[in-house]
Amino acid sequence: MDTIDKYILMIPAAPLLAAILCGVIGPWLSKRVPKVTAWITVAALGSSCFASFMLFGEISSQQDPHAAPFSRVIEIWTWANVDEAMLLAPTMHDFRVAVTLRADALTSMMLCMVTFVSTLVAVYSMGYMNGDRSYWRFFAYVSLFVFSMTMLVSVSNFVLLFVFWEAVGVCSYLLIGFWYTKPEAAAAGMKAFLVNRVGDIGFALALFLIWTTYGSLNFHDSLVTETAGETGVEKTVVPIDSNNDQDVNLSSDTLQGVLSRHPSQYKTGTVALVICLLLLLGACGKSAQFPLHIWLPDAMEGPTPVSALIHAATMVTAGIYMVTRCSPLFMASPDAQLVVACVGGFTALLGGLIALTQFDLKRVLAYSTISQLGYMFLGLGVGSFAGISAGMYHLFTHAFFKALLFLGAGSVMHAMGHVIDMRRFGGLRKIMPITHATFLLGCLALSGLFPFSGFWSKDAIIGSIHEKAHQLQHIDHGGHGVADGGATVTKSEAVYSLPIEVVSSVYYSLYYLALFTAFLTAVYTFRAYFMTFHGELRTPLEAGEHAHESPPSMTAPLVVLAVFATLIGMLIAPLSSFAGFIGMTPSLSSLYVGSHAIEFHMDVAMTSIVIVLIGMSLAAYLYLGGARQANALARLFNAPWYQRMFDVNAMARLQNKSWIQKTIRRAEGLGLGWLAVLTGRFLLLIGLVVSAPLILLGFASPYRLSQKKFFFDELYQFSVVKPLKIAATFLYAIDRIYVDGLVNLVGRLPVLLGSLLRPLQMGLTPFYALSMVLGTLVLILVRLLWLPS
Amino acid sequence: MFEPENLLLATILVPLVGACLMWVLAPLGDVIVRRVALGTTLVALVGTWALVAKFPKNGDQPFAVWSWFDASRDLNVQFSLGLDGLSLWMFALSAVLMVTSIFVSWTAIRERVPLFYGMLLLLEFGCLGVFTAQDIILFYVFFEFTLIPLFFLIGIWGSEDRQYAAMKFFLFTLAGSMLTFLGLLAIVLFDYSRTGSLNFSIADLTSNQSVPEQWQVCIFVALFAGFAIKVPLFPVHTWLPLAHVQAPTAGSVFLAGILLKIGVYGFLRFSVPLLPNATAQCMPWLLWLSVIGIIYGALVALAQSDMKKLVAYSSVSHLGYCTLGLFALTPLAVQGSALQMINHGISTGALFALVGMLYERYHTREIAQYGGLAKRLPCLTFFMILFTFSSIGLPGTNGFTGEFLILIGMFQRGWATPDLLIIAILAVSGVVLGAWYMLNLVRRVFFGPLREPTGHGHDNGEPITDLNVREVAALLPLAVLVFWIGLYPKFFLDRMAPSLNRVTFAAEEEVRHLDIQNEKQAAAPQVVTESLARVR
Repeated sequence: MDTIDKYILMIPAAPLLAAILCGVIGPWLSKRVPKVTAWITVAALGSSCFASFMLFGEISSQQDPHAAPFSRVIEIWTWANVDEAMLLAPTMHDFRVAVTLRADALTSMMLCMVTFVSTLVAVYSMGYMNGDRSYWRFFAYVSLFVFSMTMLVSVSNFVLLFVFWEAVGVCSYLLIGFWYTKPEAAAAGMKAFLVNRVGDIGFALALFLIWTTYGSLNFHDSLVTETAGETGVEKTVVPIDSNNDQDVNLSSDTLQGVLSRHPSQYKTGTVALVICLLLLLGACGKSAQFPLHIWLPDAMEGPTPVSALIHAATMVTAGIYMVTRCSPLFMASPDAQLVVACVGGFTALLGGLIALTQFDLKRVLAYSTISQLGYMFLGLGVGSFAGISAGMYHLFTHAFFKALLFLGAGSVMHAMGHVIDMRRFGGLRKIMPITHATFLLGCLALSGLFPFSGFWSKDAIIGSIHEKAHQLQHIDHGGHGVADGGATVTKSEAVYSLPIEVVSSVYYSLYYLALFTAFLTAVYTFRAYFMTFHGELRTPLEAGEHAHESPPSMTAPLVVLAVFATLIGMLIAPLSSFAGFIGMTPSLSSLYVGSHAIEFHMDVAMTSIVIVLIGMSLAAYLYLGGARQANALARLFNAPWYQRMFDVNAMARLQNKSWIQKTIRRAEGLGLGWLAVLTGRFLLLIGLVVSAPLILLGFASPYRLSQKKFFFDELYQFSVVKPLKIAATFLYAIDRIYVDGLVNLVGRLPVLLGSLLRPLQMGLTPFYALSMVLGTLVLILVRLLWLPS
Repeated sequence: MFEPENLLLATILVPLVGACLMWVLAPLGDVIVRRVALGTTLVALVGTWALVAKFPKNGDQPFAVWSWFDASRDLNVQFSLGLDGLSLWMFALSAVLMVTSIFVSWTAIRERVPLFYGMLLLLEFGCLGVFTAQDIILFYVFFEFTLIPLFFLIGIWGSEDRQYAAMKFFLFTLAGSMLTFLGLLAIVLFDYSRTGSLNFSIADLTSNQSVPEQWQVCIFVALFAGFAIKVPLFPVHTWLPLAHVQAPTAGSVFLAGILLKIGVYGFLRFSVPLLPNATAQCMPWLLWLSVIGIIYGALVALAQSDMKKLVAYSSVSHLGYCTLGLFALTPLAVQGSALQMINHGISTGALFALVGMLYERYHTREIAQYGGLAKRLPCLTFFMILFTFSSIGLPGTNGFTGEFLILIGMFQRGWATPDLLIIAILAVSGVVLGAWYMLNLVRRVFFGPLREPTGHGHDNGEPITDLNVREVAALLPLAVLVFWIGLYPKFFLDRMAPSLNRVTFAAEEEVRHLDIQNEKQAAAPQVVTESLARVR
């Protein structure tokens, strides 16, 4: 066991230990030493963070661009083993799932991000959760979450990925419902869990399909050796590290991992597409993408540090991580990439549109998270290494600035007595200077203004889409794209099931959509910022007289995160060093090697900067300054002329106008009353026909649509939840009346038969005698007639 | 003395002796009776775990066989007991759950205490016997014997409607098991006509395989009648919610935990190995019944307002997974199914115990009367959430292990026989419904503002307290098992895999032949030979 192994083990072990400590002795200990659970957690997460950085250092020092990409796989124990479980396969595979951890570039990057953000959030929570009844419970859950999340990014097979995929979901469930006495919180936790479960169906099916298709569920190759133990021949399976595979010749007893094959060894066509779409369904659940995005905004019922850690920085990015990890599978199906890009692009737009009109600061941020995750999927859906690394890069920077924004919102909430409605406070920059400054930096990063971190990653995504669309178009026109596009593009061309020009135009529209979303991002971000921190100072009653800046344990993480949110883009910009590091992940390396240098697109960058500036100015115009304070967009859409267009009573009021009345009376005077009535009815009819769509439109005015989140909750309520509930009640009735009734009917049969025969036992001796005589006669007759011998 | 076979016999007899002691010690008062009952089950538990410890890791033959009156020539019925991988864990779980059952009845049962514990111990004796019987007649004797104590447990110590429930339960299962008996006898007679000797040993009957193909489906249906009612499978499940709701807590725990599994065990022990051809032919029907049970049970559970009924219907759904895995007939699914039998016993047994503990405190099972109990009863809530997680198959708990293996195995079956793929997908979807009704229960009863039932329970003036040591002791072993099976299922799987493979081997082969026959009708001959070669 060398240092790398130690770090790999230590990173999840420390939070697990903290979780157990906090959970088991927390309630007892925290009565005596308050806050001790927080210190345990912070210490554990801190050491885990330290180990992650050390691991990162080790891995980057071990990386050699000319050798095979570095990875290390260690096996802890065998979870389950079923011999010869593969059915009708060319070779009988054993189903063997071991608890294996891996370390490679992608993992170490994720580990650093997760542990760093979670340490800061834990420090922040010390102040934020102060005075809560179940202080220890919170920290136990948080430690458990960090354990699950670090395991999620470091396991090396699909089963364990699924295990921790659900485990983070459980932690999320527990933490959303942390204040369980609030009915909304309990309901939100359940909703999050169930929606995630729907996604998990997809993930599980994908996993089964991978197993039946590839005969393995490991990411890595492993070597089967037969060692004769005391009790006979026993198979042992040793994971192969890619960094020392030169001394292992690939023999027949090498079990190939799913993600470590040569690109040509992946199935293409329908199977690949189905696997990818099912994986995407899973990712959509966890990463809150359309159509499973509905749980994330409700999850804001949980404590704010949880929103920052789980629902912004770490857990929701698990979907992105999974898709990136499985990129060899996605590369085998360009159609699936297109779907990923479309889902991402649509979700980005949807989230941005909804975020425009929300009044709950945390919900604005939640929809913003949905939108930004959509961006990441958009990057992954590009299907080139540039796109994937850009998506991962956005994940990385987003973790910092979104955690910052959430923690800032938490700081505001803390000061405002847990009020989060932006209409009820304003102008807070005077009383909360640190929160204000850090929040502003976070907003700038989120909007993606040069040179803040969001700029670099968002531009990398937009640039990669543009490049992809351009390349596809280029191929279409002449085939020169092959020269500068590399091998991947040529291969893609062969397997898109749509015509290449359609694909190209889809990517072009996604490019414009991404730019438009960038504009929306700037608008809603600065809307929230101006509404919260500008205008005249207003505080809600709940805040009391003492609205003040948060304690240092809360502001310190804000400052650290603000520094990172501002600088991290510049430090590892422009992307190439990040991409170079990520590219040394085994499952990504084949892509990386084939890809050309990642460029910085000046034209795209300038466009997006201009767009962001326009967005910011629009937000400033609408929301900055006293009179225009709240809900300016609402007034735009609720303007009188707009309202009047949809007024049902307009027709009726028109009828009472004096000149119409006069005309009618005159017509009656001329004996043409019927004509007036006819004309009136005719006009009414026309009016109704014309206004019906307008009324509908009024119900669904753009503002209302956005404010009500495009009615997705209601849609699911009426199309899924209610029907299932009705079916449940109905089935229960069937169960009681018919299924059980049938059983009871069968049970009554003997009684029925008995009651048919009962009259014979009437107790009259003459009857018995008579029947005896008659019976004897019948017997005699039978004997005489049929058997005469 | 401590040879495995002696230990086996001793372990089985301990509860019987205990039951007799109940009668003897009855005049000494309830306290002593309770303690002796507990002591008896603990002794049985120790014996069981000694057997588990001695069980060979890869043994596929019955271990610790104990036979009696071998020599009788005319009617070769043997008193033959033995443990193998099929029965080992159910045997062990019976002993564990009986301890739980006794703990949960400690204060709940106040009338006719000696009789109650006597019945419980007799029930344990019957279950231990069922799982170890190596002889068809002996199995049947134990199989029917388990009905009697439970009949009295429900009929005497049950709730309002107990007599109807007891009667229904008894007649329903009896009617089915009569047909099962006929089927079993038919198997013996077919064997007699082939070998010329009356043979009741299950192992011999399995190895002889003497039931002709044209009769297999017929006999399968006869066996199915009894086992399906016992499981219970979808259309014949209606006795279960009634019996559960009316039974005392201990009865529910043991009914859900062990007695239902006798049905699945029967399929595994008799239907699949003795009638492989029929199993293969009926497979699609059985899988459809199972998956209907999964979805139907889950949906009906969603509509329940009574906690116990909800858990009872969830049993219908969970046992659907058991039979689904069993009849998918792939190694993964069968092992998952055998594991799920144990898992369901643990999680549902614990859930019934928890509902019983709530009932003991508040005297109502209406979900709507409760709310926010997490504040009042944090420890109970902790266990409730733990076992809920186990029940909905969360990773790290036992439920996940079983469900995952079943579903991946079922998917494999679906992949091999595409007609069945839809079943696999439906079964996976059932997981969401399962999470829905269980989490809904937890949310309504334990979360939200505190709301306690009024008009019940408070009349004796005692304040409602959280779980006491005895109640924690009842649940803790189950909680340990939840994580043990969840985190290291290999320990359990290794010990049962060889036996399961042996039992299902013939049926799996039959399914392959059927598949190949179907293929033959469609595809060219050389493809068939290829796939045959692949099989070998």
